[in-house]
Amino acid sequence: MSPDLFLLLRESHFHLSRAALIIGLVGFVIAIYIGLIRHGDVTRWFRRAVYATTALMVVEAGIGLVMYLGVNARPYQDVHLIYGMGAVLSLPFFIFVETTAKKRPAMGSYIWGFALIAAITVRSIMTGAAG
Amino acid sequence: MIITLPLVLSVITATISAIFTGVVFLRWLAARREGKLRPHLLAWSIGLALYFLGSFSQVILSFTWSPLFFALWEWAGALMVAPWLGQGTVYLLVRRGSIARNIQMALILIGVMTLPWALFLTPLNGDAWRPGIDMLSIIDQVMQKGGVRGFVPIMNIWGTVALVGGAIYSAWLFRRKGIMANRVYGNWLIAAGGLLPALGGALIRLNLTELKYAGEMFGVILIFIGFLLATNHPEEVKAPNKRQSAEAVG
Repeated sequence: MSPDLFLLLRESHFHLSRAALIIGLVGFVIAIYIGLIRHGDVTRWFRRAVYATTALMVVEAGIGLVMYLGVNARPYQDVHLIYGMGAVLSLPFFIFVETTAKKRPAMGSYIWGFALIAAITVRSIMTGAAG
Repeated sequence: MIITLPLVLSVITATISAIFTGVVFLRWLAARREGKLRPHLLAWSIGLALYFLGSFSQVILSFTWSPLFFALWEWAGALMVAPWLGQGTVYLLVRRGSIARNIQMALILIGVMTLPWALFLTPLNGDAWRPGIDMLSIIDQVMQKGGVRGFVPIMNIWGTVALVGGAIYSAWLFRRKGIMANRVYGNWLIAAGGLLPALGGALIRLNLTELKYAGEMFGVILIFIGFLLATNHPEEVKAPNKRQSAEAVG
């Protein structure tokens, strides 16, 4: 892998992690507003945003995996891999609950999902910085 | 081969929890065949299977050192049993929206994250191990504090509050309504059984580790008896309250 490509991947991984943290917090606040304050259900646009966030997390983890396997780059702590996996999986678990929920509204699932994404991303950032 | 008290207690605990897992899982399967959703039975059978895995790992670790079984002992026994048993109670008591399912997803997520963490990323030092040694007495030498162990108090407090608190609440509810005495007594036994292993955790800090094994064994026995007592009567059969009895007589 060329040094330029590695730098690009590293920078992307860095900035996407910060974006994921912000999106997680914003999503959490919006989910609380729609679900708990307005007592509303999941809108089409909100669900699209959830899918886009999931895709972002997959891309973020994919970049990390390419750096880990491709150039033997290592995070600050190995447990970063576990947090990365958790960040990718957290939203799909709650998408499953929301889309199969018999009782509506079901915005509570995304309150859980975005809270977990934000929390796990914080731990990912803390364990991922390479010194 | 050294036969010690913790080994004997662990063998009994593993045997009873295996039988209990089978009983609960078969009930879930039977309900599923009838088209009834009984997620609490599935959650309990997962919790009991983890109870078995924890105590079975204890038995294996009495004979031989195994990083795999040590990690499973810590993950299943210390981390996952209490919240999964508590999850069954949450399914029974929290019927609003998808709260119970969301909590279950969080639990699965934590389980999926902590299992590979315990198995592959936690350094274990087996030098302190000797045949027949009480694993609780060497846990600090084998496994560093922090990491996966950091989840143990959170998960245990959550699981114990859900299981014990839920059982006490159910017992209180049935007692107040004056119906199904079997459920009142069954839930009291479940609450006592859920408290015993949790109290054992406190006893470890007081260096009374043998009582932890006894607590695990009596815990699963009490929960088993409580479960059979609370569920072996059909839900439809209700004891008449005083007013209905008076009307029937009048």
